[in-house]
Amino acid sequence: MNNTIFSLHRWPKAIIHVDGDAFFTSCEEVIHPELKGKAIVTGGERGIIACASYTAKKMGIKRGVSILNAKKICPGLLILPSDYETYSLFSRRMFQIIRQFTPQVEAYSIDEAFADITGMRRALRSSYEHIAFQIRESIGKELGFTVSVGLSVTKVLAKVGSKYQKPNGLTVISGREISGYLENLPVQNVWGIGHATTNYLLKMGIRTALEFARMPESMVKARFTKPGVEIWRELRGESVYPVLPEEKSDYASISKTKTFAPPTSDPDYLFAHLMRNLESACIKARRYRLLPGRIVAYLKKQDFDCAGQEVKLNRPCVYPMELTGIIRAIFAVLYRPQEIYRATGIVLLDLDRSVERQYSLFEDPVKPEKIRNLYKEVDAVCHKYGKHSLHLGGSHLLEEQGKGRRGEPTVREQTMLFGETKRKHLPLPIIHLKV
Amino acid sequence: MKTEKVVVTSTHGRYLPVVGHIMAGFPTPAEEELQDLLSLDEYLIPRPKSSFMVRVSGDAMTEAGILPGDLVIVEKGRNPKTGDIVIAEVDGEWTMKYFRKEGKNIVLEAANTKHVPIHPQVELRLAGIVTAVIRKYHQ
Repeated sequence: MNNTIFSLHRWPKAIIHVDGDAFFTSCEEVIHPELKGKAIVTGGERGIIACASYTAKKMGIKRGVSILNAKKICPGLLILPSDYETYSLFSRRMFQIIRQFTPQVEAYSIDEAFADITGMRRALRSSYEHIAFQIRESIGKELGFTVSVGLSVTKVLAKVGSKYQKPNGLTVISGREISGYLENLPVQNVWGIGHATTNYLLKMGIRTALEFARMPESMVKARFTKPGVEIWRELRGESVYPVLPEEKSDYASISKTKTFAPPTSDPDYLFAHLMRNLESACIKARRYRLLPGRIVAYLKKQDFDCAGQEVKLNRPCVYPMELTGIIRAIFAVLYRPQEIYRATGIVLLDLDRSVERQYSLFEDPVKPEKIRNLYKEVDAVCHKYGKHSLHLGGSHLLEEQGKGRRGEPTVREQTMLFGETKRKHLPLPIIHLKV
Repeated sequence: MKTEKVVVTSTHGRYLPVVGHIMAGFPTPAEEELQDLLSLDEYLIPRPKSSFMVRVSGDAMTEAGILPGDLVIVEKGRNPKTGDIVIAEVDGEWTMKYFRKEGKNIVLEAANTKHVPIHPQVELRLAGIVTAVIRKYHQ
């Protein structure tokens, strides 16, 4: 059964997926070498485990488990608050290292990347297998932690590869070898196949990725929506999803969200977070000279249920001061005092490049122009003294009590080097050693 | 000479121009040399992808000019040579010392007569090689 040949060519395309092994705790082990090999977890500030080290995993501790339960399983467990500043530094370095091998790198998440190395064999004077090997070795040597690498002919299959052997794995699935790797793979472990699709497939008696990939085209097209058909094609070695290198200057949307711990129903606190989301999103939009025409604000409940509201602006605007009233109105619609919320978020949409602004006939253009000039100064102040050093009263509550609510500060937050400010840190990770 | 071009800022930091030697009485060709600029970032951290910072707390390297409170740049993934300053774990303890090879044996020596040389018995784990030291006196 596993002799099915999906592709006659070994390498119609060569796509790599790099996946950090227990990324957050691995970063912690690099900056705290004395923790290496110990049972550690991150996510202490949220009360839920965000990442568990391999030693902790061996003891039965998994991501998503509450810290309280984890302590019961493993009393000696070391619990760290998430240090996203350090993790982002490592993440950016990981992508930079991959970019040395090919410019076509997609930073998929903080600890995952896709890279298209098709046609790079001659330039790098190596086989595809060896390029994948070199990427894994370079990251290990320069950053000090391991990653697992999958090399195949499509993104979905590359991801099958990186999961196949972990940690520090390297799995190569050429076009001719696809079926062997799909034979024992539960279909729900395929990237992009969710809960609903899995149940649907089970009803048809399909349990493994190979059974899904072997379904006849007519049946797949008749029974699945577009994403389902695309995954089916990718599993068969036909590349549908391109590796998309980030285009930093052009965003379809800008979104800023904040999950806080503990969840709350305090309206002032929630509104302050929403305002801070708006300020952060607008800072990013201004940096890329984009003007949003639509704004979405949402509140996420404790059960992950989301309530959102969209507003269309009568003229594009990136200045929180002008948008406060709108956000306050949306908040009044969304907020229910009896609910407990865990996150707030803002999305800016319909981003427009144009700098020309047109005011409506009955509008007084003096005020917006004043606000525009004001924000020029605000951005200058924030550039000098750090992001949000000048902010609206609506989000000021966070400065007063926000930090206290987040629990124990990270070691990096407690380390202020001479010349650094609270908001501006040097861009290299600190190894915390006493030497 | 355009004075406003002397200090150029970029995303990598501030570029300080290396201006040519001055010969008495003659104008310097400073403008021509402006094109080869090295930022302090590039100068101190030539390989930023594998560089880290460590804040010094001990006095092992004081005679080499590394004082408690200094910031050192540490590079990972390089093999140490005799004379390099390394940060290493020896038999369970982390130190910063001169690295020296004596035949097949490794010796770690402090730059401070108070410390005796270390001959690793069991295991030597290397955090990296010290490539620069930074000490800042004013905000």
